[in-house]
Amino acid sequence: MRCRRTNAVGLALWLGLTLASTAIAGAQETAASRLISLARQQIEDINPDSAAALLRQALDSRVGATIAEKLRAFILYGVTELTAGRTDGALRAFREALALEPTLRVDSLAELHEALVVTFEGERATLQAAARPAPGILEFRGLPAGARLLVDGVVWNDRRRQVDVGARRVQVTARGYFPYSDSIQVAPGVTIIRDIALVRSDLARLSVTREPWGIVYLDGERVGETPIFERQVPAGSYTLRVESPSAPQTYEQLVELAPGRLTRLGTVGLVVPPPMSPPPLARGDSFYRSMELDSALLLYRRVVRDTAAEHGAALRARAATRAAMALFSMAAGRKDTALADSARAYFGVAFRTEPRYEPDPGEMGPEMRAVMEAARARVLGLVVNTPSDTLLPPSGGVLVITAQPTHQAVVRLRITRGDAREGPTVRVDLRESGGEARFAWDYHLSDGSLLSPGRYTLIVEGRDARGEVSPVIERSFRVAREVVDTLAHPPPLTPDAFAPETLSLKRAPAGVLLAGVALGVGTVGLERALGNSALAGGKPTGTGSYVVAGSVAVAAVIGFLAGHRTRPVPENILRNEELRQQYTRDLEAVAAENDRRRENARVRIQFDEAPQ
Amino acid sequence: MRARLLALSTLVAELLLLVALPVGAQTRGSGLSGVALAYRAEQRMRYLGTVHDQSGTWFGGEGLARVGPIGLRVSGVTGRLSGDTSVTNPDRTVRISEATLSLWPAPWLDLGADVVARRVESSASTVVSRLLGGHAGLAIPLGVDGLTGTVRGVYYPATDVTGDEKLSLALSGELGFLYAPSRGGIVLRLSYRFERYDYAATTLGPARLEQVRTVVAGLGIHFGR
Repeated sequence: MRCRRTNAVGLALWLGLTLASTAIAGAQETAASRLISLARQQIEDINPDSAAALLRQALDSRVGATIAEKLRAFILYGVTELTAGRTDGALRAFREALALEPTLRVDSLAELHEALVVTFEGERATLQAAARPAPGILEFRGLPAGARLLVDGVVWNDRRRQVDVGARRVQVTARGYFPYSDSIQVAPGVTIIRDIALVRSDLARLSVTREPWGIVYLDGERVGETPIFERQVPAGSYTLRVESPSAPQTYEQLVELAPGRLTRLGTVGLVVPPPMSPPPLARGDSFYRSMELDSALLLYRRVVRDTAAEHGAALRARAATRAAMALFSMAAGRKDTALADSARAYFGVAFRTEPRYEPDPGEMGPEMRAVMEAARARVLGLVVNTPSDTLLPPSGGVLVITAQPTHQAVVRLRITRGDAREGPTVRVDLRESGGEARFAWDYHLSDGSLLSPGRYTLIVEGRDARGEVSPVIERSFRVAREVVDTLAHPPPLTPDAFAPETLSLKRAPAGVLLAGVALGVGTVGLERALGNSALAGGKPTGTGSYVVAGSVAVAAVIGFLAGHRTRPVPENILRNEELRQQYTRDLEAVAAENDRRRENARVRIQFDEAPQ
Repeated sequence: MRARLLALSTLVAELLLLVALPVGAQTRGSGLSGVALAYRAEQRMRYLGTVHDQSGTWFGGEGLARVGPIGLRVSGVTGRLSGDTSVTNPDRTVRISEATLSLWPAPWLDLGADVVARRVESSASTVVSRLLGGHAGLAIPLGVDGLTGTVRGVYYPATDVTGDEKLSLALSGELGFLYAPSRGGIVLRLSYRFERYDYAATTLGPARLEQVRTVVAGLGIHFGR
């Protein structure tokens, strides 16, 4: 249906383009259109070379053909090449046309050459096949003899085949086993090997565990260490016994194991309630105890991977260990080696996260513990100890930082300025150690200068001879000068402290009276001094001058009587000056002493609390 | 006689300087003041051997702006001088405009330049004199804040007269006291002012001499320090 619609669209497009170009040509025939029309005429006259020459001209970029004209020219050029017996040339022309318009159809031009449509469609198919993604490969293992395998409903007699990418439906049937079906997502170019463990229809499955760990027996026959997960056993009635070396009593019960059925007993023989789990692990532990390990695994993985939640290292290590234990049990029950590899990887994650993590002795048996210890031996863990709050002399001292790798490794210590993890490094030290690597740091920079107050980040990492890299451990710390007691400044001198430097006396100085007299005399004598004697003519000076002279004299007398004067007191001036100088000396002495105390203040290095 | 008077003037000036220098002075503040002025003027004039006297009261005002050691004073005054109604001594209308730029190099010393426009109008003529000169003055503290004795002398070396002969000498002197408390407020002044104007003799007549004696009273307000 879709193919038909595509064809219709392509035909419509072709016709549309042809009609449009014809209409345009009718209105205003372009150079390309004229050349194509001439070429078409030459094809009908069976002159392919002339037609090809005209079409090459039409396709010349200088002619400026439209898309529709180019499509016509390419198709007609392909026809000329077919007519001349040059199939490769025809395919090239069709490829060009399909690159311009992938849905192009040429059915309407079939009369030009009998092989046109077939060749054109063949090229289209080739192009589409080339564009298709590379297939993947599916391989199935672990199938019993006589098993019937169907992939997408097709019976496979072999166990390995190339398949198209996407979801593939797998069904397996075998005599004596329960049918199996699954869906597998195949990615391009990827080989997927799937181990299929068919469940025998005459076998039962059992899931059981105990805290502390124990060895499970059915009718006295050892099944394995707890946790036992979906372990296949012949169906029937059994006496289940779990012997825990660290538990005072052996647990026993009768169990009826039905064929093809899973009997999930969960945690048996609990004498006392299990200890409270930390909140992030509570649900996971609950599923674990009920032996729903798929669900438990999902929750443990969430704790391990959720770095945003800032779970402590010990908690994440415990979650990783529990995830590993669940995976190990699942691997044994389902006989899937890939799950066992995942279990080892999770043990590695636990010890990378917290090298000192030690699971509870009753949590796992010797078999699982051996796997855990092997994983621990491969992991390079690093424990860093920093003093929380240290006071050191200002001129230099030693701050001891220890880093303890779990095995022989080169430990690298870096210090960067501020909280930026990727900043300029101010100090780098390397030590190779199989035990404790001690960094006796004199809190000087690489250039020898003293570390200035501020925030810094200590970054420690290790690498062993095999190239195994430890987790990067970061500690933020602050460098500051110790707060020291400084002397208080002497209180400022109050006015009361000073003796009066002048003595206020009643009456203005006698000079005021003298000034009054002088002004009066000057006023009266002004005319005589400045006037022209010829004009005075013996006439007396105007009375105005006497009025003013008298007024000035009276004003001077009033000023003398109402005013006051001050007399300096030299001994007080001297004493006050000495007081001021002493105060200045005291201030300077206090400032100098405070500077000295600050300079001699010890350097305080405070590390932030390490995450638990 | 003249030599004696000159010696007396010198003595008075020296006495005033002696008093002013040690006593110190007022603060060099900045401020504005406006004063209403009243002049009681007496003018004596000698021409062709006859002395004529005139008197009258003038009113006006002055404004002073001072910024630190620099001050600008602008004043205007107008009034009448009454003669004896004869042709040779008619009544006159006087209008005087004055601008003074002062510099106080010390709180007690005032030096500066003066520009005066003096218009004297009568039924017979209108005389306009433009005077440009320099002054020196003293401010002598008289014991109470803001109370100072004032001495001021002005000499006009450059003159220009329209409607009369040229001036051969123009000068003035003024003594008195000023009360202007430094905290601002009222301004009181009283002074005696003497002005001398000698008009040059020409081929048409002898020299004409004029002198004006004025009692200046002022009352105003003062802002600033």
